[in-house]
Amino acid sequence: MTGSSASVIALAVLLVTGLALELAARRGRHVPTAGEALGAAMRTTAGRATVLLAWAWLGVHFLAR
Amino acid sequence: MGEHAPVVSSQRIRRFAFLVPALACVASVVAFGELSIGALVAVAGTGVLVTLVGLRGRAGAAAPRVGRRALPWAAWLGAAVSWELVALFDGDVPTVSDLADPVLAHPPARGAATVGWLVAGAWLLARPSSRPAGS
Repeated sequence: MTGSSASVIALAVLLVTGLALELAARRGRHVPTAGEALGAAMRTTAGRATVLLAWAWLGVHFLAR
Repeated sequence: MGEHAPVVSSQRIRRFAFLVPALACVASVVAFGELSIGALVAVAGTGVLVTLVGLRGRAGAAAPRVGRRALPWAAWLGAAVSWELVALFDGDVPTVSDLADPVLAHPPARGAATVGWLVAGAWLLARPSSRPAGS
């Protein structure tokens, strides 16, 4: 297996797992939605700064480098 | 209607205040293209602006607690970050950005991705900063 296919498979597994978690949350299972989890992470100043800076870094990394 | 007018007006002003730099950011990213100082200034400037507005407005301070129920998401995030670190230090394994670069090289895709990034930023700023009255 090449490194490229390994990476694509790993990312596909992450994507499917994330979608499964979101689906479970929306069906009322004992898991919050991604939005609820992210919102909860922003309750504290440190968490808020981390989430906002991570968002800003993603933009610079993917769109402006 | 009269008593709601100032609220509606305030919401419109807020939306307009976000829309103007957002449109300028998308236009700059599409026009200047990848690896350009113009796109870097536009994206980094918008990122800093949204981060400061979010910190100043305490976005998310009143979001509901989720406690340990969020552990599956924490594990998911840990797995994603771990894989990125493996890819970063292993020259043969491409990172997410290596895989995304060929797609984002096209201006329409880059513009659409910028709009998606800005929508995510607006969503983060819209997290509740104070509890609604009566709750």
